[in-house]
Amino acid sequence: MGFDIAGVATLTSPGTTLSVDGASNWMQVSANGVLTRPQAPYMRGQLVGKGAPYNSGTGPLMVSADVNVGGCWNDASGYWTAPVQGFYMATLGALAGSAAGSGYFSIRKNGGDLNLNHWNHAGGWHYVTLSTIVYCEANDYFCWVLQSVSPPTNGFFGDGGHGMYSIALMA
Amino acid sequence: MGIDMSGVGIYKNASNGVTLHYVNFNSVGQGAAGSVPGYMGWQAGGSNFYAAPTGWLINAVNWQAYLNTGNGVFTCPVAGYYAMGYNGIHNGGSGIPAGYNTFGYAGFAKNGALSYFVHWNQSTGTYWNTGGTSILFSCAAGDTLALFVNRSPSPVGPDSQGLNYGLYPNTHNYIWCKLVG
Repeated sequence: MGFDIAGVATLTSPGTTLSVDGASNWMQVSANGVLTRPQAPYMRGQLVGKGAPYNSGTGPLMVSADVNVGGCWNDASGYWTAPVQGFYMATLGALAGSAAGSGYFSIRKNGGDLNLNHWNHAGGWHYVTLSTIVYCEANDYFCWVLQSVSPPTNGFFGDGGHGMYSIALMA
Repeated sequence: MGIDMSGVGIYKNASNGVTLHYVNFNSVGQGAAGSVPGYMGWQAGGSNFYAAPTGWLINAVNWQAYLNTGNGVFTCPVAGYYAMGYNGIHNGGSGIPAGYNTFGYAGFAKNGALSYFVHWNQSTGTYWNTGGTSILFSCAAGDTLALFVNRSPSPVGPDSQGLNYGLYPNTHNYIWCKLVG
């Protein structure tokens, strides 16, 4: 049985569920105090059919989402758009290569680079990672990018698997 | 329209969503708390890899609360679980003289005690190790968290402290931490 608070929320018991429409859980506290937010925007994906190596040039890495809760990730543009103000965790794991050379990878938010990282190796595939928490206002947008890849035929492995990409709004 | 319960409000917000005290939702239930215990920052400037046995300095931030930017130490404001991570490049590099050992360690310490660490090890050369790690800590209010590079008692490379080999500064390093539960 729920308790309606002035038309803006319904509290239920045992535990508490917050929702305006009474149907979709926005925030739930279970009977033993575990908090979840089932509508929290989230994506995870990979690079598929892009070649190996794949260099996205000056544009975003065109990650294909396997899960896209809330529809904030756009496969066609390679951008995540923040639906609300908050802190978004973003992760990347990738293989960089394959010839001897170097390159940079980073998060690009609203056109500015964050979390610049680098590889420089003698050849083959070099496993690289990036994790961060990006603060966003509503409608800010960000993507993963490569920069200064040398030689330009180098890049990330882009033919499925061998890497992972994810973003989620933190509590 | 809303209701005030002893100073804790719940009301419909400008996004046609709901604000419950510090927790804000939009009209489709996407939302989070507005409080900010944590940071995302880096060390700007510098051009040489270096060890940081007394703590990695974070002198530039994208956002932060409860971080001491004078020494890179974060103090937990409340008890809870804190996620923490870093990314960066470790030496080699062209500044390593032939015959010197480039291996080293980095890790996060809670209250100054280094419990877990990661490792890099490669031959002398012009190449770098891209690395980093992430972890979850259970903390009490007042506990401190920080990143250390080549700090004892982790097994320290023979040249890592003496010749100051470690992590590269100059905005090629990022460290983050946030209360997550």
